[in-house]
Amino acid sequence: MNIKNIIRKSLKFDNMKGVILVTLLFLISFFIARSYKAYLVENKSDSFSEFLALPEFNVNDSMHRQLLKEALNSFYPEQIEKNEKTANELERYVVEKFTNPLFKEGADRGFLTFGKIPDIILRFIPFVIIFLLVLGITYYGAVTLGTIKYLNYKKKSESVVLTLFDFIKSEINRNNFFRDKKFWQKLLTYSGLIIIKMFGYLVLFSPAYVAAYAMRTKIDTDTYPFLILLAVFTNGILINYINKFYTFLLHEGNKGYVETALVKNLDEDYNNEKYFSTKLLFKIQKKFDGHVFGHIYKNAEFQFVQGIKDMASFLITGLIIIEMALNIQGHFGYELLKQVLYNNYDVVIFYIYLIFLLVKITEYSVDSFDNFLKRKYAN
Amino acid sequence: MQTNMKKYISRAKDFISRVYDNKDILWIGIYISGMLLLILWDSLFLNAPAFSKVFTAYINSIFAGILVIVFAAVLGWGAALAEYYTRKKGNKYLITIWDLFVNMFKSVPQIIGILVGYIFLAILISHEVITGSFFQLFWMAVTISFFVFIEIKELLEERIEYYSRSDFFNAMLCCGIKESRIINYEIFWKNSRDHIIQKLISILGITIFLQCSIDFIVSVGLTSGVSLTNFPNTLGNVLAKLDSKQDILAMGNLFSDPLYLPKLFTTHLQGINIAFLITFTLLSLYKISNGYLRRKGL
Amino acid sequence: MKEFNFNIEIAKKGKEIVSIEKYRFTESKITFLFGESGIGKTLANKAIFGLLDESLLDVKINGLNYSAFKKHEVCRDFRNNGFFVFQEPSSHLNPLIKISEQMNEGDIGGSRNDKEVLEQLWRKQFDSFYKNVIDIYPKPYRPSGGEKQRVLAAMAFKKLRVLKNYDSRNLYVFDEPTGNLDNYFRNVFIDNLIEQYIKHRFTSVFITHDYSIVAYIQKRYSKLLSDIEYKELYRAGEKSKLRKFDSAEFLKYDFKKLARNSKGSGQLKLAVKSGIKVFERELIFSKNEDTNYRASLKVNSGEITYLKAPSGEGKTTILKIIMGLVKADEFAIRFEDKIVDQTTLPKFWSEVIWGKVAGIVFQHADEALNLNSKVKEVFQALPLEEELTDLDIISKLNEIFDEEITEEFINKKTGQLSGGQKQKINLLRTFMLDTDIILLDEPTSGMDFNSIKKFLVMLQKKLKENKAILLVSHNEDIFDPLVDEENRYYLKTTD
Repeated sequence: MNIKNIIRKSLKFDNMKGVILVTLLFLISFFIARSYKAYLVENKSDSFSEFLALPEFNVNDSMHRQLLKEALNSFYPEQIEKNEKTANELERYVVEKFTNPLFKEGADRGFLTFGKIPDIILRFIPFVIIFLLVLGITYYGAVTLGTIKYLNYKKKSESVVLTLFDFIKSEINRNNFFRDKKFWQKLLTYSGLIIIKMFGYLVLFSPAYVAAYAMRTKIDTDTYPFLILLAVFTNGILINYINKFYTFLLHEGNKGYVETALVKNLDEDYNNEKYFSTKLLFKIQKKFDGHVFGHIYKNAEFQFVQGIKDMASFLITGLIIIEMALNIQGHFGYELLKQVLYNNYDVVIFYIYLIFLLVKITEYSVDSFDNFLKRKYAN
Repeated sequence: MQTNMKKYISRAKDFISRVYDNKDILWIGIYISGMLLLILWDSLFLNAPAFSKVFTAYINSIFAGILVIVFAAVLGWGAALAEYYTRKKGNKYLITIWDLFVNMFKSVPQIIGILVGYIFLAILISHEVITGSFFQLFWMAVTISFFVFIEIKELLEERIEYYSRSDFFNAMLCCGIKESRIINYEIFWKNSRDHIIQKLISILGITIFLQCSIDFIVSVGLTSGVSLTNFPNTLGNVLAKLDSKQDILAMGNLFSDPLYLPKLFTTHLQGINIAFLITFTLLSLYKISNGYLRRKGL
Repeated sequence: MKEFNFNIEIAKKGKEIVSIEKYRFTESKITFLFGESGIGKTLANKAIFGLLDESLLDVKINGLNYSAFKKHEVCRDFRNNGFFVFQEPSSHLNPLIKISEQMNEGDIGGSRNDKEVLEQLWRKQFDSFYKNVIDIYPKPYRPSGGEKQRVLAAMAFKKLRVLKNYDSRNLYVFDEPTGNLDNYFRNVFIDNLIEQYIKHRFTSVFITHDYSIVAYIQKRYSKLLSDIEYKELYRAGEKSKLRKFDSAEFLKYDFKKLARNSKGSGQLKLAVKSGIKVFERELIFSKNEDTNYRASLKVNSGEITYLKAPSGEGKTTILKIIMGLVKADEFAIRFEDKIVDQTTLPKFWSEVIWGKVAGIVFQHADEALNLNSKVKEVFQALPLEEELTDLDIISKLNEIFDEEITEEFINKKTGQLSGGQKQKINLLRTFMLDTDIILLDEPTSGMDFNSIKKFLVMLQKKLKENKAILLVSHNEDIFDPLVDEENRYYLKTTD
């Protein structure tokens, strides 16, 4: 029996075991949450509900409430403290009734029933689809832009800031350079580039809800395409993974096999259009055979596969944040938030369990793919 | 005169290109000067109550963030050791239970875990078990740290694993040096400090992001049965307040009227301020952590 | 004949790491380059071959900055007409491309003469190993380090075959090309090299620590001695310098002298039963190189026991099993009066053996030492009864070091030391524990000849103190004369 096989099998088993155990845990907490809720309903202890039913009593009128309090005090003078409490609770109830939109919507505070499950699943499916799209786009973006960043590093292209300095230094030699219109044009261009770069950074790092609110008056931010755009470009996710891939490339670039490739005199010119034309760079399946970079890229890409797991869980967090923060009605994340705030913990647990499954399935697929590659390369 | 100027520019460029190699230091500089500029601007255009609100929110958020990384460091360290010794003991049941525990924290997206934790906190606060903004921030930080410490744990494990693969661990064991000393002193302290610091900086960024998001969500979401309004001011919940939100929405005007810009920075300052603080802090932390990584060659 | 002469300066972030004045070798000769590890042999050769990354290192060669040197015709000729065989074979093959493809890339593509080249290095029929060794993706343990090393060498020999003009300037650097080979394949490799050399007279630099090569060449190729140069890189202050290596002194050196003085009391301290089952194979000891007649491995006080095996046969594994670091499925070991086997708990080693009864010196000082601790901290970490003062440490170090040890030296981080210095500290750390049994895994790795001599004196002292020593090394020319015939064992594998 092969050791590798044993390890692989046990790995699968462990994965399954984890899922099963966590499922059990979810089930247990589900029933605990449920019985707790049942207990609350049974012992509904607000002391004022009986008064709400009084004819002629208008809870919205503060004078009525004041009257009720005084009436209580005169009927039960021995329990002034309790009366005070009842009155306070009533006050709070009224305030809440006005400020809390849930009351107006006619909140559903019921249990999770089989009838509700399809509804939840129907909300979950678009969520999964969006997640997969976002995952794909982010992965492609990270790999492509990471590659371009590495090529720039290899070409030793200087950053805009340094170029600006060089430009001023070279211009300053000329007499009366500041009377020349062209000087100012160029200066403006460079400064503009720097400002755009800075602004771009700020957008990439802004939390999604900030970006969305900034555009909300002009664009309908609750559409699916916009959701995808937000999920990819904000929250600092894309830039983070571009850099991760770039770091992998840097790391691989210093490995021994690159030296061997150099000694074999593979092409090492990073300006060669034969390998690095824009068209080739933006291909989904990138290949750089015959160039030293081909070796580097292959290894970096292979290692990046495991990073997808990380990326996936962060993207899910990002998506949920967007849906919750933007209050997108009917979307999975927002509905989840609503259930949390209704204290419908049994429903919440079901939502969370769905997300847990999504994370696990993603992890499992990534692992299987990774294992497939590893098996291939392990001969 | 021109030669003089040329010299200065040349020197300035040298200076910049030198700090360019140490991007973490560069970005610490950028961050501090950005903050000073912001304070200057605010003192001119932002009214005093709004300024103090923004200021407290910023201090609270950063303070909570720092608490989180302290807790995360302690939790991560404890968990890494626990994992190491559990595995070494080889007790199957113990390992399964431990794996399950870790798995739970890993497989539930952070934001949901923190949300549930916050609800729990809110209940405690409304029952006045937790009072005072220090303790509220303290427990907020504890809640968040439970969902970010895994990264530290995994880093430390990776370090142990790295040194176990080479003869480092074995050679020291055979010299009769205690295992706990090898792990805590020789590996963590002597050989992983830079890695840990870098990780903590990046966790600080994640923490501030999560904290702002969660505060924003619970404030903007729905003020309901569990009233979270008693939470101390943080960047996230101040941003969610109506006036700040209006300010951010006003940014949309720029699309149709670019000349709106000056007005944005004078009359809608509070919201813009908060949004900028969050974004700029996140960006700077990211750049600092990345620069540190490159400078130390990790 | 023309001589190359380079002044090489390499700095990292403004700090000088290698500086060699007058790095010389002659065109169309084979230069064997010795010297302790970590003083820049590899780096210097990579530098003149144009392989360093100028964005990480500041390199100056003969006053030229590196990008100018890379464009210089000397460097271009080296690259175009030469080859560089790197030291660590595992990291120098791409794990995601089949070896057969990697052997047919770039310059060495096109001509598909793998078969002949490989057969000569393997001394076997092509078909018998091609599928299992060449037509696969390189993995950490498969093919083995030795096989990978031969693959890299094969690339160099392929390059030699496709070279059109042998009179043009060229350079073939072999950086410890035999480090992972056992003595048989080492000799096969050298035979191949010399055979090619006789045909084409190329320029070659051969970096090595294996002094046995000197003896082999003397014996086998004495006619070629005028085409061979022995050189040694050594440290002079902060710089490295090149000098002629006195091969005659090595050849005449009387190792037996040490052996004669070192007869101990011969009490049995450690015994390992032949037939250890581990990793799905069985390891056995034999006193005879050619037969599998089994014998228990015995280590007596005041004596050296020498365990030999072809590389990759698990010598290090045996030492690790003895020290309880690797758990074998079936084994039996006796430490004086204590018998241990597969049922013994790991606790036994940590409580009884480590640092008390037995100590071990690992082969790679780089891995075994904490490169971020100061030299004195390496010793202060030891669980000794009395705490060591700086002076104690200095006086101990002076016993094995050539140079005068200063306060400054023991406050340096070990990572800043050269390979030879690290190895000495690695040795001394275990010796300081004063255990009765000492296991040594390739103790002379990375040392130059001077250090080896000092080490042997130290070893002799340990024998006089009645220590029992178990030694693993491929440097037979040095250790064979030292160890009695009856204390030599051969390690073998059966499936």
